[in-house]
Amino acid sequence: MTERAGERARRPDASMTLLNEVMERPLDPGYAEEAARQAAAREAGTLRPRRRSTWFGVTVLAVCLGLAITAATHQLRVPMAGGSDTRALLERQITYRSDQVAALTARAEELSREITELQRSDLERQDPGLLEQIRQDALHNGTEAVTGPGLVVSLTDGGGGLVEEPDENSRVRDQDIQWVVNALWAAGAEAVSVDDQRLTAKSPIRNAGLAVLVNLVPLRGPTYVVRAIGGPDAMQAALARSSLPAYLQVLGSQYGIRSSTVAQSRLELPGAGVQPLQHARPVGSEP
Amino acid sequence: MIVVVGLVVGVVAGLLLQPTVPVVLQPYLPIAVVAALDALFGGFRAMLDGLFNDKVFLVSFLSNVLVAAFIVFLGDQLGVGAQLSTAVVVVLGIRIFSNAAAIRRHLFKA
Repeated sequence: MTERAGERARRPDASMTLLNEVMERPLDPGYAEEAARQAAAREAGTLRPRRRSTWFGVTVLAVCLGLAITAATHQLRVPMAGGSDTRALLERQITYRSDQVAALTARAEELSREITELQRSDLERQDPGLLEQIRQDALHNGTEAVTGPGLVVSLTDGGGGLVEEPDENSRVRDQDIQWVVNALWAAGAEAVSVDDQRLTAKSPIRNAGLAVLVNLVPLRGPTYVVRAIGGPDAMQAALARSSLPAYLQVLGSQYGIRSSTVAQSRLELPGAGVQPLQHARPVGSEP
Repeated sequence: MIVVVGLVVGVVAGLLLQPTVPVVLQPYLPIAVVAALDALFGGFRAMLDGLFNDKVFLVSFLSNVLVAAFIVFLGDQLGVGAQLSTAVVVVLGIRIFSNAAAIRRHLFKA
């Protein structure tokens, strides 16, 4: 007990060793150690001059560090305070990530194309019937890109995006696009895309705020282009008999949303890639 | 001394070229710069003490920057990034202050 008391007397601030360490020895002990080592080596006469490669490495490293720190400082000197800068940073991050997503999507498409190619070359010899079946399925479920004649229906926001603050009601909404898409399917379209988003059995068309999202990707207005592949004449005739023209006319007269329907001899719709199903059961079966 | 020359060359090159830092690294920049500042002050003080050694300086510089960035990264992963950044800044700040005080004593003898 007395011994412990004596120890405590020697070091009254023992509970603050961490702070003492930081306050009293801020210099890297490495400097003192290296100096002592060199002094010892000099005394023993074994101090060797440094090799040329070491000099070179040290210099290059120093240049790199200086460059990196200057770059960092320069980056930080751009004023960061305020919401607008946070916004800019977020914007940069969003574009960066979006680019990554785009690159990965392109890679996925490339790979699925490769898979299709391999499937084709293999099945051509073994089972041409199955190959045809797969091709048809890929066309209908939107996995693969398709080309062919068809119709183009475009909807444009009231004001055409030229008005600074357009009326909310004069914007094209999810419902309008759904209406057009459904009419096109009903008219016998084999494949439909909205802007560059190919529609599949799982594609939602929804509003999020004022933006329309297809496949959860926001579309850029003010013009929304719905493209459908199918026989243009038959589809046009079916559309004319449907309720779509009346609906579009109401949109035009009440909200200023302009629309047009044009037949095209050749359309190219992108593929949506493989859509994994989480849950599915045959149509008509009991749940 | 060659290290200091190299560092100056790097700084000048950085000022002239103005390279941009990848967005991913941006959260770690402030701490890295503070760590670099700490190493610089330490090196300067060692120089005044007559203990300067470029290898030690360079290694402390590099490891300071990397460790500081790593701590922030770790903190971000654990959800205590801001607190760990504060801890690093406090420790490095105290060190910078102490070194600056030692440098002041050296230069002004006061």
